[in-house]
Amino acid sequence: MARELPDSYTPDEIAKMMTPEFQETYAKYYQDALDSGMMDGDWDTEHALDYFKKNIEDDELFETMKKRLTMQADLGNNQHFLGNGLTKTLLPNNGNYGAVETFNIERRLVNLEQFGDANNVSDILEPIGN
Amino acid sequence: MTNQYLSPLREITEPNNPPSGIIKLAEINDTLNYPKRWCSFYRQGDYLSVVKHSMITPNDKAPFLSTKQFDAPLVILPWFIDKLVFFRKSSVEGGLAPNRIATDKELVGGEHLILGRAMDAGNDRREGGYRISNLNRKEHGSRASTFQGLLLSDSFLFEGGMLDLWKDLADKYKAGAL
Repeated sequence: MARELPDSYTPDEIAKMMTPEFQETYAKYYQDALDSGMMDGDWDTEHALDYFKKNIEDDELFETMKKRLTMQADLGNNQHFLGNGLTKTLLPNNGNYGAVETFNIERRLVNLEQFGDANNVSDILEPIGN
Repeated sequence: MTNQYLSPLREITEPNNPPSGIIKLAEINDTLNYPKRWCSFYRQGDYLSVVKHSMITPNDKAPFLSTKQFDAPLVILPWFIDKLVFFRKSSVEGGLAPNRIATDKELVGGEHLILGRAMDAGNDRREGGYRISNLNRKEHGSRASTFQGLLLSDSFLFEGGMLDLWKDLADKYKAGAL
C-alpha cells in the first residue's frame, strides 16, 4: 500500500492501522456507528465519519479512525478485515475464517476470465494459527 | 509525510446561505444512490469549494446537518476532466502507467492534487469511484490533521450527472464566465 499510494498513506499510518488490535477497535466503533442509525448501510463510510466525530473523544484515535475510513473507501478493506490473509466468516458455527482475502485493485472492471492465462498467483502465504 | 497546509478558505456550514462574497455556482443531488445527499459548488475568489451536505437523523436524537468541504484552485475544474481521461486510458494509449491506481501528486494552481481510484465508493452498489485528494488543504472543522478529499462514485459521476455538471463548470471557467 505504501508503494501503491505513497502520498496518501504514510508507512507510520499504515503501521498504526494494520494491527489486529486497531482493527478490533475499528470494527467495534463501526458497528456502533451502524447501530446509531446515522449510517444508511454498512457501505456508508461518509456518515460513519460523522458518528466517529461525535463519539470518539481522543484526538489521535479519531485521526487514525478517520484515515481508516478513507482506506476502506480506497481499497475496500471493510470493518470485518482481519489482516491475516483470510476473510472473517460471518456465518454462525462455521469456524473463524472464510476464503483467502484478496485485494482487487482495478481501474476498469474486467472479468477475471478475460485475463486468460495471464493470471499470476504468487504463493507467498504463510500458515496462520493451528 | 509532513503536509504543508495552506491557510484555510472559509468554511461553508450553511450550504444555502454561504458567507458573503462566496458565490454558489451549482447544486446536484445523487438521485441514483442518495437522493437526499447534495453536492454544492461555490466560488471563493480564485478557489472552488465543493460541499457535500445531508441531514443525518440518529436514533432517538435530533437530526443535524452534515457538511464535508473540499477546496482547490478553480483550475481543478478543467484539470479533473483532463486527468480523468488520462486515468481511464491504457498506458499504450498514453494514459496512466499500468499497475497504478493513483496519479502522482501534481501541482495544480499551486496545490498538490492526486486523482485516485476508490474501490468502494460508499453506496449500496458496492461500486468503485474516484477520489480527488488535496494534500495542501486540511479538513475543515476536524480535530484530525488529515488532508481533504472528494469521493465520487462511478454511478454518480457517469450516470447521475456529476461529470456533466463538472464539465459545464470547467467550460465556463475556461471561457472566463464562471
